[in-house]
Amino acid sequence: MAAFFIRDLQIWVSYRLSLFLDIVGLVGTALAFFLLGLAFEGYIPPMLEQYGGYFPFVIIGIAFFGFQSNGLYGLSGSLREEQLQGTLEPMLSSRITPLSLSLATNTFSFLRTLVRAVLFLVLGALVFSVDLSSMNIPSAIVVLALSLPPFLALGMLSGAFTLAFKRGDPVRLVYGGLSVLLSGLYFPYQLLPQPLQWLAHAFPLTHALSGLRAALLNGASFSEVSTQIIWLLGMGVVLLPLGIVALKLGHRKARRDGSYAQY
Amino acid sequence: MTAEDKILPKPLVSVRGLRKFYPAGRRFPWLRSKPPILALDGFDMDIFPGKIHALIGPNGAGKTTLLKILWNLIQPDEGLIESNHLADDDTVLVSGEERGFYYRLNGWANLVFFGRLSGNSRQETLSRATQLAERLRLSGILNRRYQTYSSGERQKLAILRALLQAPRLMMIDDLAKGLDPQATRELTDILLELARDGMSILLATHRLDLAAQMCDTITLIHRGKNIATGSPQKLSQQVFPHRHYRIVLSGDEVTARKILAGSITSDIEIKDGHLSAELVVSDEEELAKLSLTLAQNGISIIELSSLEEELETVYNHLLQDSDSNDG
Repeated sequence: MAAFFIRDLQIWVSYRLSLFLDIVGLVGTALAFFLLGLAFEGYIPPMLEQYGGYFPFVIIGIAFFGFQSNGLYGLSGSLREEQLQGTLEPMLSSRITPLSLSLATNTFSFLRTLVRAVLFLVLGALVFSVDLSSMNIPSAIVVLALSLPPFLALGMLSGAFTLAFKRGDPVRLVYGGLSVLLSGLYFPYQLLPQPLQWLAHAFPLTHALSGLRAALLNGASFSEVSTQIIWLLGMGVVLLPLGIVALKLGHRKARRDGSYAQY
Repeated sequence: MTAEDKILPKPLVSVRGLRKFYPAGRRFPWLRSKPPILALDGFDMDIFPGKIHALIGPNGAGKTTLLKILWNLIQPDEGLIESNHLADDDTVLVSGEERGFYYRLNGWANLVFFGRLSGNSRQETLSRATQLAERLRLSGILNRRYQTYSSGERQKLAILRALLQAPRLMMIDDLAKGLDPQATRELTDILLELARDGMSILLATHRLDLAAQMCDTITLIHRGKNIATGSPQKLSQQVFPHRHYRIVLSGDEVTARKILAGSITSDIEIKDGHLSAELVVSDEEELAKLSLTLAQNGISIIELSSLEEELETVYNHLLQDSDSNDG
């Protein structure tokens, strides 16, 4: 795990311009949503008042959405990159297990996303006057920690498709797209028609963002985010074994077809 | 137990009846699948400790499939692989491709990453890599990013990475691909040295000159089958059972012509007062008899040199034979 972390850090640091643009992008994104919030100030749905307006609502969404992106795309993206660089076969010859590979390829990007999320919050609080004075950090940490296993599991399903079929991964295409629309990333999912609101509950991101908003903006305690905790826990328990099995099957198919190096 | 069994050590790896099919896929899900592609068809081979074994054959013959099966990255459909106490990490595959490392990282960082994946600590990896880099004359370049390496340096780094595992069997796919003569010589010297130290080496290559020059055994693979195995000399004899020599004699020309009449394949030339001709005999015994007859008739042999067929000629003959047997 440490070897992957150091490797990813070294590669990330080697792209200095990208490092700089990452920070510029972060400020630009926050500013764009702040201005959007200002432009529609009079039209914001009343349910957002509990969060202090549209900007505090959306900044939590964009700050923490990266965890789902990393979980979902991290492993499959990394597998594909390793295939292109020709490093996948030497790596797999070290007999690294599918679970370790999934965790290892995500460790650095999860930490980077955490730093980005904290920077978003600091920027929001210091520059755009988001009120974080009542935030409940332990509740936020628990919600975030419990959202990682389902995100990782979805990434394993996606990685399994990459190994077995190379392209056309439905987890990435369908789930990734729908979750952005339905999970309350840019607007409250309660504004959607009732059937879509029910569907929204099938996405771990919905419960993660709702719990994080409650904990960080309203200071919700463990008991107040218990619904989200139970949803995330349940999703983790169901999806993680599925992800591990799928990844093993993906490896088995790639080994049988001799297609590890194909992309 | 035959006399040969007594001489040969136990193989490090024995491959018997290996078969591998690749799915050919289907154009549309509702159409029937195309027939699978047969990559290995009952392939047999033995690899002996401390020997260099070349695997030669046309493109698509099954060389890379075999190497990846031995590396455990491809699962065979049938067959048996027996090894003499060979653990998983005792086998490594070095690819002749110019990829396989992280372009943005320098040599050290790449080696440390792969070393740690193999279960060694950073310190152990660095200490071993330092010694190996010295031996492979790579020390000067390991601080540079991989993207700046030449083809020869990339292949040497791949060998260094393989050696970090201290393997007992090193397999190299596409040896010396794209290397200049000097880099090729450096690489072959390294491999010969490793074999002298007891490592078994299996090379898949199209460089028949290198195979003939450095390998103890050559296996010719064609359409997934082992169509011939042996030393370069043995393969040559298999195709050309008669032995060819150049003989230089001193003595009476007419007598020499009479004695050698049935055995020479060229006209006798006279050069610097000596008679010279190409000779073909069926075996050593026939050669000994001829030598004795020449001596008894006052003709002395100044020089006798074996004329080996080029491996390329042998290779082409064996492939043609295999094709005509199949066809």
